[in-house]
Amino acid sequence: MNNEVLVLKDIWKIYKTPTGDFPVLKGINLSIKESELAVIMGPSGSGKTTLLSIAGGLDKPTKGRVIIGGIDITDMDEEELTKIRARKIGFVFQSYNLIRNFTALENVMAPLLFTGIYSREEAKIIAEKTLKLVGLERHVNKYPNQLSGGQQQRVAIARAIAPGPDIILMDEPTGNLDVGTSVKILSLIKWLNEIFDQTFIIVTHNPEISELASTTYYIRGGRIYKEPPRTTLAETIKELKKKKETEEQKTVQIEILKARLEALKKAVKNGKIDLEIAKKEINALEEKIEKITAHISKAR
Amino acid sequence: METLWLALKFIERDIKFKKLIAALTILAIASGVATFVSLRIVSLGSRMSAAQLIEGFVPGEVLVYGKGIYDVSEDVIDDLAKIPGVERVTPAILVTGYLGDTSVFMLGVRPEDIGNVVTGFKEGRPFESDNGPFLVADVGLAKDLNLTVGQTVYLKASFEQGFHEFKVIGIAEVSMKIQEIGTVGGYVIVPLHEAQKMLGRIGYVSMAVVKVKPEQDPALVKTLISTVYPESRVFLREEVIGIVYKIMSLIEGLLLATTMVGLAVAIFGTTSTIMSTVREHQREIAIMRANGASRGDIATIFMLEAFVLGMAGGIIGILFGIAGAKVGIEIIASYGFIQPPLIIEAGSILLGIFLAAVVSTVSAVYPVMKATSVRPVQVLKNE
Repeated sequence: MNNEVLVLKDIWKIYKTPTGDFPVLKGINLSIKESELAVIMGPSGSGKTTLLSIAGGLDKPTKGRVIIGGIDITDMDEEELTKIRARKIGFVFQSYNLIRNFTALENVMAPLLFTGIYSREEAKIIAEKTLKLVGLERHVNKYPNQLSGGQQQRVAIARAIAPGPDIILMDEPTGNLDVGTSVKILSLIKWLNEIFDQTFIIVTHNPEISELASTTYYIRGGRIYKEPPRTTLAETIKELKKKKETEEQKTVQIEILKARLEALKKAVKNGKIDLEIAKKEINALEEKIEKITAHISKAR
Repeated sequence: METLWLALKFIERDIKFKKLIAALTILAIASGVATFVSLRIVSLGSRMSAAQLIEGFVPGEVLVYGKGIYDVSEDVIDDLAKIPGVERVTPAILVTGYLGDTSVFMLGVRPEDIGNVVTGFKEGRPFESDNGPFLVADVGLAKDLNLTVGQTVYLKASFEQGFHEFKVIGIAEVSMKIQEIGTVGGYVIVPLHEAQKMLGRIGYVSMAVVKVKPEQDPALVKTLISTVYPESRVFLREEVIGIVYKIMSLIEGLLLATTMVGLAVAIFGTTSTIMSTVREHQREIAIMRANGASRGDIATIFMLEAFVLGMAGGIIGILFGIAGAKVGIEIIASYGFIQPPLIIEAGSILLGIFLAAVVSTVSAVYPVMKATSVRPVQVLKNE
């Protein structure tokens, strides 16, 4: 039961941009065991979706190794990866991502047929039973636009579990759902994990989901942690602010304030604005300019 | 096979979603296929009809002409008959003229050859002498001009000043004729010697039609005649048919070039439809790829969509093509020159199917390339 279904070894993902290299993942090491329900928490832009795409064989790392179900998929070509995805990995996305041309049943049958293993009849039987498992036996012939958000996500879950993958990767699975429906979906996930020993990795920024997890990981700035990073959001903002507050920026700020002051004085002179109203504003601007100038002098 | 079923399901819904676009695409393909099919059917019928016409018109397999007009000597005719393999020789003068104020073809033949140029007499009898102002009128002409046996008519060659008096002695179905060509109203047959007198070319004819013995090769007889009379122009009847075919091919080629524009429009329309489908389903392609669909599976869906539209267009195009050909043949027949039959052979149907398949396959190439290049990771990037 302690077999590793997913191993990420020193994963780096660096995007090349016109202004230089931009590392999104910085040496991620992660090991997910069979029947684990792992939650990876992180804010937007922390690299969690990139990590998910690499773990699911949708994208390739710049450096490092990806091992799924004991198979190193890092150097596989696109067609080999397709076969791995078909049999070993299930995906559930925030926007359900069902095929609108297919009924619920056909949506679940599709990945089974793509494996090339199942006949249409076999795929139909499995799909029907899986839809029953997620409580949608009365909706098998409905198209996605005839289903509610929660029902669509159930179909997406059924689609992911139907081929019996080693691992199911979920990207914000409750992101588009209301609180009540989210609870139902999360309880379904937990139930599938406990009853079927299905391995899940959920990436989310919702801390409530971590309550379900057997393990919670935290991702910040392209690095993964087992404990939540100690720096608070306020500290991070302060740090960023400190870095950015340069003398040059202050000088630009003074120039802007001076331009506004001149324009205001000119408007008063031309009778475009009442002097009494403008006076307070002029004083406030002059005080602000004086304050920033003093700040610059002090910093020097 | 299983993904083919899935692809068909996908296409079924897609076509239901976009009925109008699908219908217009099918029509575009159908119009391209229809023009091709109708052109082929009309062409087949016209060629067959033209060949039959020439075979009926020329009572022999080899035609001998002199260097100029009316300069095949009657002495040569006797010699031609002695060439091995020749069954009989029909010397003839064919010239345009006027019967009263009606433009006609005047055919001058010997009394013994009249059976070679008519299929049967309706009234009267053939002339029995090479001399004498006697005339046999074609059935059609007689009907148009209300000619009767015993009636006196006035005939002249086109370039002559004065008319000659002739007596209608028979009304017959002339086989050596091209019906109502141009402004010419019909055929009259006069004794060869009378025709020569009118043209001022006694002892000469415009052509000799050589009937070859059944076991003989006409090409060999043609070679022999060309060797014996190097000054003459000798043609096989098939060569005359070939010349007609060449002219028809040229006209067909021009029409084909025009219909190519129609096919190009069909290809462009289908490409545009499939391309819009690919763009519309870009996200779903990425989803399917993420869920294990191979590039081949994706290609199957869109190739099949183009194929289904193509085949639907092909079948409708074949039906339109047959209907169009029927109308075309009726128009051609109304000119009275030839009566092309409506020949619907397997080749025409297969051509329609083949064209539809080509149009759909060519149209699908670029959209399929685009569809298969969608990376599965896009599904996450679009979240």
